[in-house]
Amino acid sequence: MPRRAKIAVVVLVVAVVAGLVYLRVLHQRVVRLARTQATEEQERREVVAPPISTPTDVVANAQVFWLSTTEPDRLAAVTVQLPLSADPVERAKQLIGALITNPPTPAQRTVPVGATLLSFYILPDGTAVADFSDALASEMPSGILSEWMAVDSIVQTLAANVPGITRLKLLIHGQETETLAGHIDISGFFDLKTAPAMAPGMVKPTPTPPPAQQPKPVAPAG
Amino acid sequence: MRVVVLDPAHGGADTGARGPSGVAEKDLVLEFAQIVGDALREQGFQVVITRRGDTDPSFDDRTTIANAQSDAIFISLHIGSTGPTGTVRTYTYLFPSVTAAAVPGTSASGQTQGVNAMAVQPAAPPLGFVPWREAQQPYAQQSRKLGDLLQVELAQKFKGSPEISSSLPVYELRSVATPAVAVEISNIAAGSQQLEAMAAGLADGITRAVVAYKTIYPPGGK
Repeated sequence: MPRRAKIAVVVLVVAVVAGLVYLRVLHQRVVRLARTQATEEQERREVVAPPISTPTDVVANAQVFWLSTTEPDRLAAVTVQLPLSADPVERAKQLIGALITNPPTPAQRTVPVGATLLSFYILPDGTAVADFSDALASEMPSGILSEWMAVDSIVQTLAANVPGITRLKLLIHGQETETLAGHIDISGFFDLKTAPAMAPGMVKPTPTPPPAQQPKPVAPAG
Repeated sequence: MRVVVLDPAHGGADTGARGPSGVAEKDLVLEFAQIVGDALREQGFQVVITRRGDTDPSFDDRTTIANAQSDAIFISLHIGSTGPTGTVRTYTYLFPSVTAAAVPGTSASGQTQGVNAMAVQPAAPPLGFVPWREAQQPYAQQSRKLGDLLQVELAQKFKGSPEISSSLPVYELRSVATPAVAVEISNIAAGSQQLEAMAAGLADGITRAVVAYKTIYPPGGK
């Protein structure tokens, strides 16, 4: 083999070895970065959506609706033990918090992990208003079924555990929007007709007035 | 009925769902629309496609194209992110019919998927002033018939798919003044090759259903 060819082979081998070493370093950096992001997400959630605890909390069985393990195009109720408030507003916040943070497996998640409930209140006529962060829309996996599973899991979880709510209105960052993420119409109300008369640990719901700085809904276009 | 309006969802900057290989929903549904369109033309239908290239017409633009046709049906094509992997399923959705008491402009009724508890109203003649956001309501019954025929055909092609259509508040459909459905294929994670391979089945299923719809429900018939 000519001398030049030998040198070329040696240079090539050195380059490949160096490349492999660099790839390994890059991989380690990516893993480290992912861990950091997960930790940051957890810290952010603890700040913006801390676990809710009230004096009337009672640990009770709650029916939370996530994607079915056997039929992932449907919802299935999972019984979980949660500290639940007697106050329907706080109770609803606790349930939605559990829906977002505690899916049994990642594949059963319906609501994006980055979504947070910014505010929740119940009007005297039984209309509940849930105001979510932008992430509910921006991090939603694209699709009609995905969006519907998110909406329906919220509706069914509230219906199964919080009496007194007759219908639900969804807001994104205080604004009324036409669609959740481009597919499902959320400009109207979702009925909660199947709510039980009284769930465990509940007192008669007392409607809570909307917060003082209630965001003004935007009139639908057109 | 002689015109079929096919609507490949998304487009332009709106890629829709993305598969693990990077395949984008907007590209696949455009390809599907062309294949389905060819199959329908062979059966003598006039086919109108709401976008020809990588553009993203607004909902109103797409709806306007459909509403400008006379004697037409509207089929929107989507690929979702949710649902079982390793298999291909299809879902046909139509906008829920709302009762008169619930109508005005805020009509997102939370129908549980698969229950189909849609209150079918007698088809009102689409005469006089019809609000843009309620344009689909007079066509609810026809949309249901079209949706069920489509879903029956598609369920035979794609095992595991539901055998009837579902009422969901798919925003885009609410303003279509003609029988209208959205067909969503699940899911984008099936892989581009598997999804592309099913285009023929989709074209055949949709063509059979459209031919059946025209035969069973001729213009002016009940």
